[in-house]
Amino acid sequence: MNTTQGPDTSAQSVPWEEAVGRARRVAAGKAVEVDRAARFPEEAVDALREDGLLGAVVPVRLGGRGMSLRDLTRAAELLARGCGSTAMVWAMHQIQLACLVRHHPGAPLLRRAVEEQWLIASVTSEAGVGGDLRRSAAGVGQGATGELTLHKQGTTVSYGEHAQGYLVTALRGTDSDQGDQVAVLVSRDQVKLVRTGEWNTLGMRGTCSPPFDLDMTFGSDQLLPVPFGDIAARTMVPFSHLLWSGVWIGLAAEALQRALNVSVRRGRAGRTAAHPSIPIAHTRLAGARGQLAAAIAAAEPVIEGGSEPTIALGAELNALKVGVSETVCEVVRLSMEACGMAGFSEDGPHSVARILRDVQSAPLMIGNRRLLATNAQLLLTLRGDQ
Amino acid sequence: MSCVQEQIRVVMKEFAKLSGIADGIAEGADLWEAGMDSLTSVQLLLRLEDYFGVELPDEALTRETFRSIRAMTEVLRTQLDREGSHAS
Repeated sequence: MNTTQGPDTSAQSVPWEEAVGRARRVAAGKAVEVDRAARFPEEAVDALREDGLLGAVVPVRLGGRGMSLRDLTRAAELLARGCGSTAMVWAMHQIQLACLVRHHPGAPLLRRAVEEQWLIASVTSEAGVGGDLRRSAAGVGQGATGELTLHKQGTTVSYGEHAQGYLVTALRGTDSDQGDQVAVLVSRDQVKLVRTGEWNTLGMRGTCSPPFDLDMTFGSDQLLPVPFGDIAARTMVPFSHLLWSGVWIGLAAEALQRALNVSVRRGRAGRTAAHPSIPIAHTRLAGARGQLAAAIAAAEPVIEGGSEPTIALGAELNALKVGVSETVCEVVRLSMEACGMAGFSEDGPHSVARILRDVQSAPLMIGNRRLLATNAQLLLTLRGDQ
Repeated sequence: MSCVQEQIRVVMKEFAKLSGIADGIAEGADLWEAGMDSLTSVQLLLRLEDYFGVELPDEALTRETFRSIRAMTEVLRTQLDREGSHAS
């Protein structure tokens, strides 16, 4: 991996569909190995880097590909057809980058991050506050020589050991209220990173997301100038729900394709071809795709225009996350049913096992119950004119 | 001094996260930085609508509406004018 070379504009001239197709093939070729060893999918991430896809969400004027929300979710889906972990790493990186280019385009490190195609990890989870994005425990402190300091115990830092930059949330100061959060982009060389646990999970094993203690020293100009609450509402939460949904739909589509492949093979062998689970899975997947398309259309005025996010949009995006994460689990289960033992096996072209394990993470990434509890409140404000 | 604004401050006192700042905070100060969160904003909205006897349209239900007492005052005034009933 070479992170010091400048942006290869010739690589970016390759249409994104072609570049994603190439990365997808690399990811698919290593997916089993990445899953078994719970190792980072470095070959696929290198392929994404070589074709300028790590800068997918970055506007062209800042050196990126400037892809639309619709294209980003489609790319997430296509990558997940090859490897769920690769797709999720790419999606999470785009979410971090989106926060930076939308809320701190003049960040001192951003130009370097784009030019060198850094992979940027997020450090939002924290010991003592659970998975609540909008609460922090550690606060930004003043160092002895005017620099700022932060010590944070991150509980789940995806690809933490493989990132070149970190987008970290914290309290504005050591005495600030729990909700008064800021975000800061720090470079790897500004962080003392100590892994404090393992990542040995049921699925999404290649995201390599163990806990870390992070000791950081940085300049005040690295703090994003907008309160983190605004960044979360306008960018991080919408991008997360939309891109994650793209990844999960890609996993479900791959499982369904494998079920269809089994059926076609059986049909050619003169046996009963059509398994009744397949049309049900197909119908459910179409519903998830429809929900994602509707949510993209609803979010576009905020993400690509300058509209303010409404409570109604927030509720729709929460419903998207809950709905798609549950539906894909059902689609993959039905697909395995259609595949039979060939799907249950961890090996072979008709295995659905890894996909089934990967999608189990979907209802947990921001727990669905938490989102439903939030929506129970938000929905009280809907006026019925939607 | 706006009567609507004073009434908003009275309603804010009903909420634990806002009661401490309801009287003293400047009308233009950022409430999100002073303790407002999304659930509190929903509850405050429902209470304000009840108090003023108006219903805000979906497009007005944004983070910016609850940014400050001044922003809430403007949105409520607009809606009160639209619905033809004046609270002040």
